[in-house]
Amino acid sequence: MEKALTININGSIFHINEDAYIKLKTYLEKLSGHFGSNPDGKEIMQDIEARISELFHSNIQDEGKDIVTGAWVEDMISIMGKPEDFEEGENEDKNHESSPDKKIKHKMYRNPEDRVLGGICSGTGAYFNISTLAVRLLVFLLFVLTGGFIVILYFFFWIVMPKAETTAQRIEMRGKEPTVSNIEHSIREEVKDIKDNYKNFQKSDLYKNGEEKLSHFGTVFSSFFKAIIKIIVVLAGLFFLFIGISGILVLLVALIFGAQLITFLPFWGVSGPDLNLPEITNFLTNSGVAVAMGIALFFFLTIPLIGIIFAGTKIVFNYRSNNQLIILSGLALWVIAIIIIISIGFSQTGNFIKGKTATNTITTSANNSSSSFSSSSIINYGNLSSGYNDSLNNIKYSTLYIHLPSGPISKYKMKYSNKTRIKYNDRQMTWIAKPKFDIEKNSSIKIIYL
Amino acid sequence: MEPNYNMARNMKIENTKAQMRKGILEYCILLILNRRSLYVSDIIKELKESEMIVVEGTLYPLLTRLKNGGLLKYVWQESSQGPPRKYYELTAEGKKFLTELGLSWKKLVDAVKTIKNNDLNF
Repeated sequence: MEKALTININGSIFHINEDAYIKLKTYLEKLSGHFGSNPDGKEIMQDIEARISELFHSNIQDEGKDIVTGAWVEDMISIMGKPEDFEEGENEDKNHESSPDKKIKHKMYRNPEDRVLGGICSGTGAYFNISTLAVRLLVFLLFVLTGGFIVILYFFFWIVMPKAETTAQRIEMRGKEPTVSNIEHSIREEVKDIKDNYKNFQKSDLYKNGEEKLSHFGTVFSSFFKAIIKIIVVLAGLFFLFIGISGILVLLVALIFGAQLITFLPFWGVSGPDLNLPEITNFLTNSGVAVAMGIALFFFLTIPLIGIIFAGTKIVFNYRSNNQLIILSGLALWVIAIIIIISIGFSQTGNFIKGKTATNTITTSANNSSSSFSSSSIINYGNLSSGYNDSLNNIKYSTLYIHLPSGPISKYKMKYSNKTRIKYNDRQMTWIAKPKFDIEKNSSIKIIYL
Repeated sequence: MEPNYNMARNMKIENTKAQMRKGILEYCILLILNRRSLYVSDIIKELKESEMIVVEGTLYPLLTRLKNGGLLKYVWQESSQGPPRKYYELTAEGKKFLTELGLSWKKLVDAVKTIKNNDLNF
């Protein structure tokens, strides 16, 4: 079963399948986008519509069906041609390379002509002039690394990136030249400037008056300096982009899954902050406040990272946009987030007591048959103040200190899975967990829970 | 690097071909319409048979431009199927233009012929 619509093309009524309708509509929009700049555009469109109507009429007669199908629309498009196919017919200038000072805009679009879902990968590939396959593989890799989280980013871009519908937009999508070579090109030009200046400098009579020499030396020096600065700026921009994007990924991972996945990412895994938003919110006694804190932390951390990405993009791709409204509202949001974080922080301090450490020591040894130690242990948190209350339900992590008799104390972060049960009555809380560690045969370890 | 180079060259060839066809296309349309007034699809049929155009969309902007340039005009004619159709025909100015184009076409053909023959003599 298919949904059908009724349309009027050049005074004739047609029934049309929904998919065929969408195809036809897209095609006509493309055409009118193409002829939009032409003063006779309206008349041309009318003629074309008349012809389309005629083609459909002859289809109806030939096939004896009176509903326009997707195949008919496709046939019609192949007869009429897409705008890029009949560029040659009308505007001579468009076929020539436009004059160098007339810059073609370079924007990100989704590519509707090569797509799996939204055409984001192929659009991105076209923008950076890299193969679509490479982009798709990268996205798949990120999908695996981030545990599917990239899907959210994908949908975000699907919303944000417009579709390249007209020929002009498709040109903008690819840009005039590949971006990387644009950068290379501009650097090369700088270098050429230096060479030229240097040659002039050599040609100039060294015995001429000192003033001239100095000015020549000045130009050589300044263009050399300019080139260096340009290279540094581009590198800095790339670094910004890298840091910003990996930072956002880390943040998102940390936000959802906890800190463990950070080690997957460059720089951050080695010495980066131990981001773990679920853990941070665990310190809060009220779940509503915890949500507010989580959101505030998210904005507090994301906005600067987005800013960094934005700055990097601007530097590397020489992309000009000064949307002050976005910048200012981002800044305002950031300040609000800081205020919320600080005020929640202050309001929560009253719920905690100072300097109370709960310790319980369990000593155990591995038996001969097994190299791993598993013990159902009761971890006693000692007496707790009334301030903790129900927030203890939220605690999912604890730091475990394992003391090997012959070595230093090693610190393990232990996640209490759903196998963990938390009991508390009156003012005492008990965690029942089954920690599992690999230890050497016939050795004994001492586990101190803090 | 090689494929890029080829792509650029192919684009150049295509561009040159398109430029050549473009000039001749106008002449062909005028030639076809010189015989009798015709409906667009008839013009298209003939142009397609002689491989002057690949897709029909090429023709519409061109016809409109020739019409607005005063070389063509159209009359509405009732059709047995569907709405009335535009039948294009040459204006007096169009006929004059065609004669001029015919002369210059002849010159062009001769020029190319001469140059080609010169090449053979070497």
